[in-house]
Amino acid sequence: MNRWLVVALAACGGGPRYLGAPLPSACAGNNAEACAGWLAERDLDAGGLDVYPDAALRRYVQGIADRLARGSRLGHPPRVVISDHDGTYAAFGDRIVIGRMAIEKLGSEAELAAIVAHELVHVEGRHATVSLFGPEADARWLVTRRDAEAIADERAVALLERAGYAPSAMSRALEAELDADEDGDDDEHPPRAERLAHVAQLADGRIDVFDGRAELLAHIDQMILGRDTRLGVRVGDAWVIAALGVALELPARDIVHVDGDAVVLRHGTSSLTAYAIGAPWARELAATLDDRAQTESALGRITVGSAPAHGQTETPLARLEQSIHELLPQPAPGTWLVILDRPRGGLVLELSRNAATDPFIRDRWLHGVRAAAPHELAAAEPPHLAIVRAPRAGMVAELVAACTDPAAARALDRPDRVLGAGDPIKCTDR
Amino acid sequence: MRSALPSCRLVLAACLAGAGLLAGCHARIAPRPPVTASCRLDRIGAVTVTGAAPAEVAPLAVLEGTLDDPDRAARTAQVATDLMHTQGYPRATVAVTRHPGCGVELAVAVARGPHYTIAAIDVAADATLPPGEPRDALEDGLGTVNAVGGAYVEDRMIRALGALVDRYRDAGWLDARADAPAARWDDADHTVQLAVQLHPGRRYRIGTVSARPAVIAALGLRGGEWFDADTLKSALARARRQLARRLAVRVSVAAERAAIDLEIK
Repeated sequence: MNRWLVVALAACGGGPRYLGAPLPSACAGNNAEACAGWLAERDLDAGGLDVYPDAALRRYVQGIADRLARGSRLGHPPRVVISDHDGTYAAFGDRIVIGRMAIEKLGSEAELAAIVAHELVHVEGRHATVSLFGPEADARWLVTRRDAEAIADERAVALLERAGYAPSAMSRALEAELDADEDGDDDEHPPRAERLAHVAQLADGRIDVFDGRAELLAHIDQMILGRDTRLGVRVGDAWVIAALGVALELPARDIVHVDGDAVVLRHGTSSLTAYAIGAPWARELAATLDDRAQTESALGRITVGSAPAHGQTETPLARLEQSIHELLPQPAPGTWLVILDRPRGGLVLELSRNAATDPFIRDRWLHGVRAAAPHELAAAEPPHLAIVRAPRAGMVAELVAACTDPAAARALDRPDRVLGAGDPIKCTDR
Repeated sequence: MRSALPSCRLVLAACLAGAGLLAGCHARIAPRPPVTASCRLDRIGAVTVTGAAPAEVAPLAVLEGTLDDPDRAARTAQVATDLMHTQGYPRATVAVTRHPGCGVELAVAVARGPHYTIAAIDVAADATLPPGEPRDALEDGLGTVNAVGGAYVEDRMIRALGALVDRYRDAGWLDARADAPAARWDDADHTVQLAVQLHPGRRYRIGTVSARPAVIAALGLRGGEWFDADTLKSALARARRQLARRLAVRVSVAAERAAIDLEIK
């Protein structure tokens, strides 16, 4: 069995665990869907620092899902999780994951309901089960996937109607979420133009019902906007991970490359990649390194070693766990690692072979890890949404002049949206 | 997932909201009247399912409200049939008929057929099997598919056998193969007996290891040891790290000696 999974399942007393938490009874029985849903949520929460911790917003979106579910054939509504990134999907196992960055693009509760309804149809239609237990990922599988996406769009319009939302919100939500310049098909989704045309045909221009702009905007006031820069951002000559309270010096002679939440330093053929992960995942990873050594430092426990090979798993539960586990951010087997254990998470430093064996470069980089200074922590704070009232009636394109940064505000909404005097406008707080 | 404390807070908040003591609490969203949807010829107005619960043919049930697309409905019927098979109804048939009503209406008639479960999976081998329980590798869906007591899905069993054979080859049984699974259906007690015949073949050893002495020392592999792909990968990673250099490996299979020769540069 995979060594990581052995640790995950058996290292702690009181029964099998996954990323530090006891497995639910669904995993001990034969409820693969419920077990997988729990594991996927645990990955977001404890593995990748990827749950947006706004309980009120989650409850609000859950309420929308509850209302939509009443018009569906589901016996109970799926659980909603707000992730801290962009992706929105129906996870295998009654979970709907809505990306915070997807929410910020929307202009009303009805549009948010449209996104939730699309994912709810995937749950209702058991599309994830079909995808996982259906045919191989061949041409037929792709046709099945595309059908499922089109069906989710179209039935979502019906769920919106039953829940009392404006059916036309489906088109507006898709327009907001799908980039106009990515109109080519991605194989698993029908083309954007086709999706928009089909939902517009079903909505038939019906807009004279509840849209809920004020309701949505009241719930996302002060929400973080864009990438959460606390997971890593360049501040002067340092890469600051405010979520962990640490900074990594970026020497002037090295090439710096930012890759999502990770930073890569290069010097000749040597490289170092730094990124933050959840504390349970960091501790689990540290416990399984080959050639492992540990030391205590002022910043926390440091573990060094190399990433172990992924072993073969035997039991069905271990295989299910491994397939979800592999979605976590993690190094390739054999990579030399330094893991710094911090209260909220772990800092992972991946060293290339040349960097690991060159004490000059290695020490220069590793000695550059330090506590972040207060001004760096302040600079790493992401922008937030600030709701202001329209001073007069007009289109968003004109009304954003009332915002601190009109250009940034224009990107948050449809410029041609017509608002009345006193209606809320999405602005940034700086 | 949740600690007890937030749950209590939620319950308390809901109680207070119910008593009208918390303004602006969004724990519950008030019902709203539905939007009237007129019947249209281009839309599936209703899907009725007989012979099974709608959730059993969920991919078809969710066509209600979608655009009418007969080709897509036919493909979805096949998907729903496959789903029935994974639920233990290998002879299930799903027939979809269209008739006018509120727009187009679909009538889904499911003939489940008997529910079969796997009574036994007999695994036989003509040589010593590699370590591990092969039945674990064949099982799917946490015991609901291709496990004793679960449903038999042939194509998934064939795929799992292929993966098992690949695993044996990685572990040094290079000639491993498996026959197609044989199923014996018992229509009296609605069970299926599966027979799986594995041919692990010989286990290969590491033959010669050709490399510079420092590389051989760093690898820690010796001729005569059992071959294992994972062990080889780990040894290469370790040697690359220790020697701080790229290492390219060439593998030659000497079937007559049941050996794998390694040349590392």
